[in-house]
Amino acid sequence: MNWSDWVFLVSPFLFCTGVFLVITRRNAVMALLGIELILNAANLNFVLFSNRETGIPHGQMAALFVIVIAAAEVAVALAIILNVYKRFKTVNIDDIDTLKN
Amino acid sequence: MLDLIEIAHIVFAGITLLGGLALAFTKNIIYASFLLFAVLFGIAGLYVFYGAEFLAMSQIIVYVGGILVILLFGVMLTHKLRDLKPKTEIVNLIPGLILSTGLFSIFVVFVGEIDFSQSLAKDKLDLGKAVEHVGNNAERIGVGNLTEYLLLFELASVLLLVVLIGAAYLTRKPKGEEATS
Amino acid sequence: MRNWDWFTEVVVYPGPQGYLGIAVLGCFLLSFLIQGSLGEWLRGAGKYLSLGLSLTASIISMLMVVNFCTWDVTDTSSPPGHLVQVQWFAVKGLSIKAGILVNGVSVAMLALVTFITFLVHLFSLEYMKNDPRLPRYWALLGLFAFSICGVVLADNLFLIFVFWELVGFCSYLLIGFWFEDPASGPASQKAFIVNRIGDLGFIIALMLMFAGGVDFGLAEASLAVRPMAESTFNTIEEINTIWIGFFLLLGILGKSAQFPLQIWLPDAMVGPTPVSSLLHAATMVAAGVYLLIRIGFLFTEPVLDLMAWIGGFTALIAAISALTQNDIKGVLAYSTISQLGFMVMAVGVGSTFYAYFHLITHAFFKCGLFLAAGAVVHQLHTVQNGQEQHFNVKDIRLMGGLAKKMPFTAGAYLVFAGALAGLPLFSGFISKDGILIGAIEYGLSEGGVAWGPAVFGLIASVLTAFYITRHGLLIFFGKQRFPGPVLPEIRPANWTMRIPLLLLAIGSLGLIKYFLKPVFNTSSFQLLPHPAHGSLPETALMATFVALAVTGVGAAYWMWRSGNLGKQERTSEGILFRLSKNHFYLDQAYERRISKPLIYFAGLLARFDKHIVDGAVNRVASTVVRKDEGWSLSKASAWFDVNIVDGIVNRIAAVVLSFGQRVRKLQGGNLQRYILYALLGLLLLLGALIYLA
Repeated sequence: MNWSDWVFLVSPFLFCTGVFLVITRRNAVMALLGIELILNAANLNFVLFSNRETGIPHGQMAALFVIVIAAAEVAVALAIILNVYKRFKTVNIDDIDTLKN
Repeated sequence: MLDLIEIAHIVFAGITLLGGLALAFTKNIIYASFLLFAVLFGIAGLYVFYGAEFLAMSQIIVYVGGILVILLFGVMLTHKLRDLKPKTEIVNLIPGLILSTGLFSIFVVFVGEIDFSQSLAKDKLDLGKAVEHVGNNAERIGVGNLTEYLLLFELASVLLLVVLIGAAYLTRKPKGEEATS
Repeated sequence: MRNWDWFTEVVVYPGPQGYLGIAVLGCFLLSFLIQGSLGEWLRGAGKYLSLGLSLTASIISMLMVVNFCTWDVTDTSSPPGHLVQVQWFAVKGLSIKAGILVNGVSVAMLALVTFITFLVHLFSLEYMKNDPRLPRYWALLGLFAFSICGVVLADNLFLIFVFWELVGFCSYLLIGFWFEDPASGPASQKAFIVNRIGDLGFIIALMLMFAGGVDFGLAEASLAVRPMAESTFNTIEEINTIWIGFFLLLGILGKSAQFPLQIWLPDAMVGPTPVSSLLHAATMVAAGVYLLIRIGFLFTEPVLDLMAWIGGFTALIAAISALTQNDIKGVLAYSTISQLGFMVMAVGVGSTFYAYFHLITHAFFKCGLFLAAGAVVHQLHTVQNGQEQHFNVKDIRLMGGLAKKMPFTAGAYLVFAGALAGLPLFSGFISKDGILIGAIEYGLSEGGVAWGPAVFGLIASVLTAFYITRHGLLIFFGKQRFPGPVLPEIRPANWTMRIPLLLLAIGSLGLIKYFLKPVFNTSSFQLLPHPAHGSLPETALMATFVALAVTGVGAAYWMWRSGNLGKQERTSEGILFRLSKNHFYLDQAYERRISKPLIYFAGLLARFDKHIVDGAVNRVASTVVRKDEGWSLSKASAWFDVNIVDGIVNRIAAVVLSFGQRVRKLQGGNLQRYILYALLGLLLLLGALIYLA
């Protein structure tokens, strides 16, 4: 491994942080933050590897659409969280287990 | 050897990494939101170094300007500041730690295994010169949007519209409830 | 030795007739889409829209038939056009074209299907008038008609399979249309699952074809797997062909309700009667037989032998079961299975033409029988609603004497029943006659056990005459047995119900032969009747068949002429009666031998989950602290407990319980845990990958 390869490790790091957040936080909003981190990690990789694409930068296009989807996802997810909060008076993920049984 | 641009690169990467690390261990949701801001800002900076100025701007406008604000709204609406502390408990700490460090070490091994000089990125990844790179970034993305990605572009706009309506619908007050709440 | 002379490869010409086929498909798809999306909004106008679209489709397909009949074969400059094809998708080594193949078989079938669909639409106007989910009903009918026309027209097996599945799905939805009825859920699931078993066979056959390098296109495949008589195959090995045929047959057995997969059809009668009429009598179940005929070139001798036996056997046992049913539609359901058995047998013994002919005649008279039954049930239901009386309107033991009140329906019914019984002058006579002669020829040429199908068929045809006579006598004639003053209140069916009955009755007369003649006589028609009848004393045989049918009718008439159920009551204790009534306990056998073990196995897994993974520890805890009777550690240690170490048991229990709680979390409905386990699995996989690499 070359020392200058560290640039390739930024996005894995962010990804793992995101996973960690999703798994360990009881609060749904925090889990959502984790998902955002995961998405951004993927984006970063896309952009990094499309560095010298000529013509249409396909990696960047992908990242752009990911951003769009992420925006949509956040809006819907928050709407759902608000609804859940209205209904259950909590946003803790492990308290919401109505589907169990 | 370390020229100024490379130092700036390292600084932005550092902001991202440290932000992420702090984000992983903070319990306060408000702090977490702002730390996410730092991370996203750092990523936007990194985009510039990888020759994606347009994306960097989008990142800041969409994420920092939009998504983060929505997130903060969410936090405030679900944690009425008086009766609920904006803190979150941490569950599954040990397994989570094992999992994420395990995943990360596997990524490290993978990155170590791959010889990037053979593949597309490494020999081309001349960070210092990334900025003066093949033509106007925004223009290329614009051309892409209206040619090869036109359908996706349109679909994305429809998706956003649907989400707009959907989110409004989801959070609306049901008709009967107005009197009670 | 079967007659394969008539079997030439499928003729293919490009041309405009395929587009007419697409138009037919489009009509029904449009009906489905509009009803499905705007049905509620259209309200009353919706039904006329569906009716109009089905009429249009029917007219278009009639045009196709006319076009087809008037086509001069020698005029090669303007062929009527048989094939429209587009490249659908291609993966390595497999290129699937989607297209429409119109030949004699499919054009006649298409006309039949669209015509009957139209009649059923018309009938449903009145029958389903007060249903709260009417748009859904129209939409499903449209989707069904779309998919069955797809099966009829599609030019390759892959596409046929897609439509085939759609047909099964529509059947599932329509059987369960009145889902308030607790019987309809299990019935629709049963139909779906039993059909799935058949479809598994279909999929395996497709895989085998792919593996054997046979093109899915019917035209191509018929070239690849040609002359059966020579048993030489251009591209695939014989043994492979046998398996392909076998598994395709399995799929067809499921859809056409043949032994051993016939058990779903009687249960399917919980759906609306027009649906039973269209799907489970005239078109969908016939799709299996149609497919048998359409892809007949894929079947080799052993498979055909099997087919003849299965068909004959099914015809017999279903006819026996129909003898004792008391449900007005139950009799007709078993009758349908029996008649489909005749068709499958006919294909098996090599008289494919008569299988096809019987398919058409059967569609007319069986659809008519169902609609007549539907009219009766509908009128009784109306009376019942008016009188606030509650009796089973489908039980023929509670009917009788309806002919006076519904003379039109009764008259039409008599025509249908005559056709089913195989009486002269009715359509069923001609076709069944052909099938039986084919079976006898098969027996003659093969000798020995090959007489089996013929014997089965002959017995079944006597029984057919018997049960349909009983059915009709109990419904329409004799003295009335209603549990109340119902009879005077009954009104005759109205015109939207009568017109379909009238048209179907006309179609069930022997005259239909002359209408069909021009279609069958075109040289491009693939199923020319084989000319081998000369070797048999045909007139004598026909007289025998008529005598058999009359015997059946007469016996039934003698037993039930007065509408008196006494004889039936007396015999109902016999073992034969019970076998017949319960369809040889096949359902129960499946239940016990297949469903139960499967459910037991599933339960075993569930128990493993619940008790071993989840609550092993709880079990220990409960053993320890059990409160009820019998041995338990706590009882045993009670003395010990009280006298020596007070509370130790409870403490063990508490420890054990808390451990149990921990183990329970594995399945605790905690989302984050699930993600954690999933990712840990991924981690292990990746780790293994690195370790191995």
